[in-house]
Amino acid sequence: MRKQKHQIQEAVEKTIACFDHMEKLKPNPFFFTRLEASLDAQQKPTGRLKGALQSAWVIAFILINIVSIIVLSSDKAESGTTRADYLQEIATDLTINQPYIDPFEQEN
Amino acid sequence: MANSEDILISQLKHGDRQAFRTLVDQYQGKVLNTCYGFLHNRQDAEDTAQEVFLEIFRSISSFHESSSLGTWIYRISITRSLDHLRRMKRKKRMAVLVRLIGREKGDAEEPINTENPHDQLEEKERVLILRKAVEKLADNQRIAVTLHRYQGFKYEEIAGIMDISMSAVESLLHRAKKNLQKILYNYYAKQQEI
Repeated sequence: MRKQKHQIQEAVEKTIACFDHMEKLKPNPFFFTRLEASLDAQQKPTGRLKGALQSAWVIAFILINIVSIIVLSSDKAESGTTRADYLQEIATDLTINQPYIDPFEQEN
Repeated sequence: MANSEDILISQLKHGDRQAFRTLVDQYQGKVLNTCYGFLHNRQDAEDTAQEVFLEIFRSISSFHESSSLGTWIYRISITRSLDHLRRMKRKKRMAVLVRLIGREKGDAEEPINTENPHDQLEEKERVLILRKAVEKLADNQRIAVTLHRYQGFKYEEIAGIMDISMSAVESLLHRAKKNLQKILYNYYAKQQEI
């Protein structure tokens, strides 16, 4: 039991001593090159993004206007024909435009 | 008369790339190793060190010189490293969850392989065990230990970085050592039971 405790204590000490031989990293020679590329990439997109957003807004504005004009004008034309057709259909269904036949009229 | 650090800070505040290069040359080794002390992975440490320098470049205008430039840089390094660790832990938890619901087989946690100690290099294994034990310490103890034992920072420097007194640093390191001994003792005791 005592021997076991001693062994564990020894292992603990040896493990803590590992702090003294911890591996130290040497910096990558391309560290700054990579860093500079990230800096450039972060700085460039803001200018490009601004330009892209501005042109996107203009294009969207023009497109919305064109689509609205097309939709409104086609609506007008369509509603004209369909309304006339619709009236004709109702008239046919109700037999308004057919000659009136009186069922009680006696035949001569 | 302004010293070289003041000149460097002033140049950095004007966005001088050459001054930034000087700063990177001066601090990259310590920043990289500070990050590595927390992350234990070269790629993660390099990525985090990159983030640290990008943040320095972006926010140098908010540096008010109440502490030294070095202290400010190491504080950013520690904050970034701990953020990275938290992100990794979240990812691991998610991986475990995903594995539990059976969608995917993940590699959630890197286990300490102690089944065949003779097949492995003892030293490497001990380092791994030590890292795992350090990870179990409370955040402030872990920061103090990492800065002191991995990076060789002096008590005074650690006090500056952590914004605490020298006696608080001493106390943190003392408690950290006691806790490490306890964690490791329990670990090896369990190993003997197996």
